[in-house]
Order: sequence, then structure tokens, then C-alpha cells
Amino acid sequence: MLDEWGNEIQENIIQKTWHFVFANRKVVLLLVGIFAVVFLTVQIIFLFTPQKNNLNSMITPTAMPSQTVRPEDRKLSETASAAAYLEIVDKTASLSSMIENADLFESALVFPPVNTKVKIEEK
Amino acid sequence: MLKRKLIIYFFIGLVFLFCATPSARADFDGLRQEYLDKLSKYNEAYSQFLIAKNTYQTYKTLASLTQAIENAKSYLKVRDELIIKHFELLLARLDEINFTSLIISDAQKKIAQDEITFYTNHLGLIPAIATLKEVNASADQAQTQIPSSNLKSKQILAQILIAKVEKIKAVYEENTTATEELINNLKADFQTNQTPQMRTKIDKLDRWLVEVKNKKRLCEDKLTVIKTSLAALKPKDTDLENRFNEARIDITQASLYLKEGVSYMKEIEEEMKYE
Repeated sequence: MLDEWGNEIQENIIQKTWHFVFANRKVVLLLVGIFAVVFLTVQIIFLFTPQKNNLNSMITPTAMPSQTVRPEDRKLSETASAAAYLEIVDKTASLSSMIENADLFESALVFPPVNTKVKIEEK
Repeated sequence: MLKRKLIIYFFIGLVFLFCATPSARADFDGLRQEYLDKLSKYNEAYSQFLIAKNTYQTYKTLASLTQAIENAKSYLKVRDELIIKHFELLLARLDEINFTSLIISDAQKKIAQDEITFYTNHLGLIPAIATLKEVNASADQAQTQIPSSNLKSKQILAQILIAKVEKIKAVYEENTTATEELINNLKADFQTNQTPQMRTKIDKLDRWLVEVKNKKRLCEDKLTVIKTSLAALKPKDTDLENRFNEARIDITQASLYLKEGVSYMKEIEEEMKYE
């Protein structure tokens, strides 16, 4: 019984969908055409755009959020060097992160362990 | 009404399209997976080859000879494909790294390309193999090349690792220069109203900055030693693997100098913060 209900509901949905599509076929065709054009454009853009990957983000320093000047830093903050100081603090933090994340072993790039002795003795 | 529906559907569709943006290019992870698949096929082909070879050498029948030749051909083919995939991986990594010297980058790419060309040509000759003599001749050809390919692969890998450390060193140098400028600005700011404590502080910051620069010098010296030792490696060196592993450890050591220098920079920044 449940199977029959299920089949009935399924047929109903399919029928209604088909009626809707057929009734608005011009609109549907237009939308499909637009989607296809946009999809192809995105693919072409990605083909020609250099992609950033994990490695580049590892070796390219990323900016850390700037620290606010605390009340006890007021002497430094009164000088013109405050902005430069905060910039250096940010850069040092990102440099530290760069060193921590750098993969300096690259075990994926080791030459494969191939066997060179392939000769078959002729006797 | 229809126009409004159209516009709504259009923007919903755009959102979905931009969420699902597959990369059309084979990326490093894809190549790596292909390499691992080839490696597992290589291991299988090698086992099959050994079985067929031992069977022939035991029974010396024509059937076992034919099987041995076929398995040898399969093995040689998979081995060449594996090595080609390895050098393609190296090329993919070389493309990702921003080398400080384009000459070095191009030289490494050319070496990898030449290796791919050699093994591709060798691969093309394998289907024509029909006799045991031809199998052995083909094996000999690759046998002389493989130690040299192994060395070239190691040298390319070492250049990749050195390029990473040099990139870190370049940023380190920029930071050191900026820190030095800041210390000089502090000196200028407190020139007219210098207390003995401030004088002591500035002297301390100058000494600490020298230590930061020393770490960079140690890193540079280490990299020079590494480059010299890598240039001295030969394909037939019996301790090639050990010497290369030592070079990799030295590259890590070079980066550790910079890491220590960065911790000194943090101490300088902490010291500069307070009066």
C-alpha cells in the first residue's frame, strides 16, 4: 500500500513538474541558456586565472589583525612611530606563522624507489 | 510578472554557479593522487615481473619466456610512467614557488622537462620489444639513466626547499630593516630629552638588533654550504641518500636560525613598547 502511495505521489510530482515546464517552456529554455553561458564564462575565467593554493598561502605572509595601542603604550603612541611599530608587530607575527607553516621536507617530492635490475639472464 | 520571475531565477542560479566552482586545471593534489596510483601499479607490475622471471629461469620453456618478456615490458612501461609522473609533480611544485632567481627556476624546469622527454621516448620504444635481448637492451638504457634522474630529482627538490627558505629570509630582511628604522626614529625622538634609562634602553635595542642580523647571516652561510655540498653530489655516490638527507636537515637548520631571529624581533618589539 505504501509503495502504491509512493508511486502515485511520485507520478503526481513528475506530471506537475512536466506540465509546469511545458507551460513555461520559453522561460525555462532562456534560463538554461543563461546558466550555460555563465557557467562557461566562470570556467574560462578559472582556466586563465592563477590559483592560489595552500603552498602559496604558506609562503606568502598573511596580514594579522592590528593590535590596539594600550594605555601603557602612551609614550610610544605620542610619537610618529606608533603606526610603523604596529605594522612591524603585525609583520613579525605573520613571519613567525610563515616559518611555522613552511613544509621544508616535501616528502611528496622524493624520487620513487624504483628497481634498476631488470635483466633476465639468457642461458 | 514573468520578467520579475526571470530575474529572481537568474540571480539564484548565479549564486549556485559561483558556489560550485571546480578548477579546470590539474592541481598538485590531483597529480599527487595520480602518482600514488602509479606507484601502487608499479609495485604490482614489479611483483608480476619477478614471478615471471623466476619461472623462466627455473623452467626455461618458451611459454615462460613469452610471459617473462610480457611482464618485463609491462614493468618497464609502468616504471617509466611513474618516473614521468614524479617529474610532473616536481614541475607543478616549481610552478607554484616564487623563486628569487628566474634563471634558477627556468633551469630546474628545463631539467625536469628533459627527464620527462627521455622517459616518454623510452616509453614509446617498449611496445616494439619482442625478444629477451631487446628487453635487456631497453633495461640497460634506463638503468644508466635512473641514477642520474634520481640525482637531478634531489637537486630540484633541494632548490625548491632553498627557495622557500630564501623567501622567508627576504621577508625577514624587510622586517629587520623596518625595525632598524624604528629604533633610529626612537633615537631621534628622544635626542633632546634623553634620560639615562632611555639611553640604556636604546643601546640594548641596538645590541639586540645586531643579534637579529647575525641570525640572518648564519642562515645565509648555511645556505651557501648546502649549495656547495649539493653541487658536489654525483649519480653513482654510494652515500647519495645520506648526503642528501643531511642537506635537507641543514635546510631546516637554516630556517631555524630565522625562527630564532624572529623571537629576538618579538623581544625587541616588547622592549620598545614601554618607557
